[in-house]
Amino acid sequence: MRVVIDHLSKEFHSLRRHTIALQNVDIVIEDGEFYVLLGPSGCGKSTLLNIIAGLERPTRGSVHFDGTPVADPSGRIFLEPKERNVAFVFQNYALYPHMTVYENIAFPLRIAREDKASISAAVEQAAATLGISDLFHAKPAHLSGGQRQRVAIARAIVRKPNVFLLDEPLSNLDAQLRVLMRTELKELQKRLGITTVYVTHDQVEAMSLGHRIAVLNKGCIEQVGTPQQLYDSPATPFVARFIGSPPMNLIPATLSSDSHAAVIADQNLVLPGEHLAAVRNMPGPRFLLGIRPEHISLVIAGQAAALKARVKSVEALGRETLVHVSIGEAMVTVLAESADLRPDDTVFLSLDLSKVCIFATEA
Amino acid sequence: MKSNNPLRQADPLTSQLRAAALFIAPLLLLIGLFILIPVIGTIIGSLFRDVAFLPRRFVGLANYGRLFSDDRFWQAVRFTLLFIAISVPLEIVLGLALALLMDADTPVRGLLRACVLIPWAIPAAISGRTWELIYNYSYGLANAIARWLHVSSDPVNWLGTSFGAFSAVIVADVWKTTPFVAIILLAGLQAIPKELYQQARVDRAGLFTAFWSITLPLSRPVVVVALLFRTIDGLRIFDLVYVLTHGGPGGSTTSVSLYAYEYFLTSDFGYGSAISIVLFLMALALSLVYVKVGRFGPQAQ
Amino acid sequence: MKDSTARNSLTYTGIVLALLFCLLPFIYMAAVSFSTRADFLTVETPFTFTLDNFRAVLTDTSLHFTAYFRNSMLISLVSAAICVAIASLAAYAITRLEFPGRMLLLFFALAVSMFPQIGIVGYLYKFMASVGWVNTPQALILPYIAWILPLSLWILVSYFSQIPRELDKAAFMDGCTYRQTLIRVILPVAAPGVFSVFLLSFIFAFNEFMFALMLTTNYKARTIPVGIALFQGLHGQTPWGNIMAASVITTLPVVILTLIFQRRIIGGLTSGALKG
Repeated sequence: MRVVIDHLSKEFHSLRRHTIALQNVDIVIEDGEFYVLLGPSGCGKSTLLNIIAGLERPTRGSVHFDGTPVADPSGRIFLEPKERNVAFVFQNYALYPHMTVYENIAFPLRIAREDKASISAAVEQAAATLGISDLFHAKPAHLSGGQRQRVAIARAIVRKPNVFLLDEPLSNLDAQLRVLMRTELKELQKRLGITTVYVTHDQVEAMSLGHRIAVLNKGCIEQVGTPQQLYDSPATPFVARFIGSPPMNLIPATLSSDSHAAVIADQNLVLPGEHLAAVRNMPGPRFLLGIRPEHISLVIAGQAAALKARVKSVEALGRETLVHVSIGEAMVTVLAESADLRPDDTVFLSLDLSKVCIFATEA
Repeated sequence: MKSNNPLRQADPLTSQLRAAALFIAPLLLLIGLFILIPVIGTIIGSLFRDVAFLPRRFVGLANYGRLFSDDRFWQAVRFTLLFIAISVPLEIVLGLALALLMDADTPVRGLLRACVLIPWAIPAAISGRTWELIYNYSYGLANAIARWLHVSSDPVNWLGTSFGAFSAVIVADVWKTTPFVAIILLAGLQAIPKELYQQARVDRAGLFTAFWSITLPLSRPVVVVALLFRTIDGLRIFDLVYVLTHGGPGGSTTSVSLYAYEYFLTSDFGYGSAISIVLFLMALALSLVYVKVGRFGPQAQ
Repeated sequence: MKDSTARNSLTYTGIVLALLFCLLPFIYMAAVSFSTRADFLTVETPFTFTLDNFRAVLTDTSLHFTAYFRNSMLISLVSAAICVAIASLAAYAITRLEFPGRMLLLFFALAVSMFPQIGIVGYLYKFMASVGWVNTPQALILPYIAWILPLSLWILVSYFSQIPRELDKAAFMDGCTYRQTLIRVILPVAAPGVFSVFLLSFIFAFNEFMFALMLTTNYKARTIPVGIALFQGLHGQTPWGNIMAASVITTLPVVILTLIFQRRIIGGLTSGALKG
């Protein structure tokens, strides 16, 4: 099922205030794709998911499934969730506490008035896929978080939906279980081939699961791309900071008077041609130079294209060490291998210029 | 909201409004038909001279005028106000004591709570007759206890004197409704964080100090709620006075409700309605007072 | 330590006094019901145990007690059941559906619950008389439902609002209509609260006096509270033994219900009160 979201906006009106949750969102989700909506809380990702589900109505714009409109205020079209054949997995699983696992999974089929035999077959198949066939008689209260989540997923796939929607399903699990479920979810989606829309605020999850990711901020799309695209070429400072942990450094810089180098805290850094072109296209002389901590190396003094910096603090994290340095007023994080540096030491940074990104300064 | 046609008109909120209207309709219908309309009927009826067998005639506020100079009406008002002035504070104080006991962590807590509920759970008519027997002049329990305690040489004529009857009504009402007050106050007590008491114990505060400076102030909002409910309830008292004292002796324990009822019984619907409306207004006035006072109460926490 | 023993003895004395205070009239009621003569507390008359009072009340049809009991049970059960159903519908709408005047409706219910019954009963009687419903069950059932609805609504709203909305969303995704969501999801999950409301409604209907007094005029339609209140002797001697026996029979089920469901009843009352 191909999902097309066209110029979608959503506004909430209440007596006290008027919130704009989504502004002119355009998204195309291909059939069978694992599509992630990523962003901080309040960015509108859950609202967007609810609109695709049919739990909310858009204010403007439309949603199409394989070319058929399912929500279009201007055309006065709105299909209820059950008419769209979509399934939803909630953050808190929303299992019916008074029903057994079997009854929970069977519920949507019973509402759809299917006969007992086909319900039984479908439930057993779904449960087998999720590995919970031995839990049929248990009630949700007696299950662990991971088990509840599997029941929620089983309930979602039992109807063989066209679109599979998940709203931060892993955020209530502990760290280890989360990693385990992530792999399972990825395999499940590959096996079933259902178009999946997945909401999360965790960029690691997004990068690991998604074929493509849409990064949202304050109701607008910042960038859509594959994980690698977002990582290597973030389109905005927001995306640059959001993707990757530790986040990309954004160093304030200006263009040198001879337009051949960037000036960072009175130090010159010669930039390759394509970056210089980007800098010259900036509205003003100032811009942000983006470089990831792992693309900076600590070198001995005197090497070409090295910036002098002063160590502020060192975080030894076992496998890697984060060194926080300052160049003038700017704080920069460097990923280093060893930790024999101390605060106030002077270091020299060498930047991998092929990995540099140029951004306009934020207002 | 099943629909066979996937493409259909869809105004925002329409299906919710439709469902909401359907869901609240029965409630509105019943309350409208069997509470609101009778009330309106009573208001209108109070403006008529409506006595059985006589033709109905519009008399405007004549019934109310008659009330103004009706001594027995004022006697009923005095009784009702005095009744709530004495019974409600008693119920609050005893209720608080009961609530503290019910809150305490004792092995008999469930049993205590159940036993405390029982006076509230039984019909007022039944408790009224039991108290009527208790206060029986010749062989009731009250006089037996009075004799045993050597309080008085002669048996007390409880129900035959206005003071005795009044006390009897107070005791019977306090007995019956203190449990309800206690339960509401219990809810308030349970909302007080236990850490405050622990802190008090660390600070070496005694039982009394803890009660005075923690329990009382933090129970205040619940006490106000209990006060409001009990006062409005007390205004309408009927069952108990009907059964226990029949409003006597000499009408000294006739509440306003009972007074109105006496006229309904003789099919004087006009005058009875007027009395009822006055009671209505009294309840309204009291609730407005509470709203005003309540506004400043909890804020002052 | 001295503080805690003082506290313990205070508490236990208090409990004993409280139990005595609450139960003494019942003990007396029971004693009289088992006694041949009501005046056994006087020095001259001893206490003699008998079951005659109970026998009379249960078998003597001229006392009409069984008729009263039947009427009370029927009217109370029906009123409570219908009240709970109607209140559930409205509570669902108030807690889950968006419509103008939601809060207004709740406060309207609260205001209505403050009305004095006497302000309604006069006109109610006229209405019942005009449609020929005096002395019928519906003459009491319908006003009872209306009268108990406000409190039931408040308590159910308080219970329903504790059920997370996510459950409703899941039900919608699974294809439920509003009605199906209420019946298959909300009501089962709120079952304890619904039961509390049913219990409270039953108790209110069972104990109601004024409406029953005015809207019934003969024994065929009377309820127990009115029956016992009007129980007078034939020869001016009040038959206290019979009255107390009838009272014991009536209060026994109530006492048992209260002992078993004490938690439910208190839970219902407190959630209603806290919201108020």
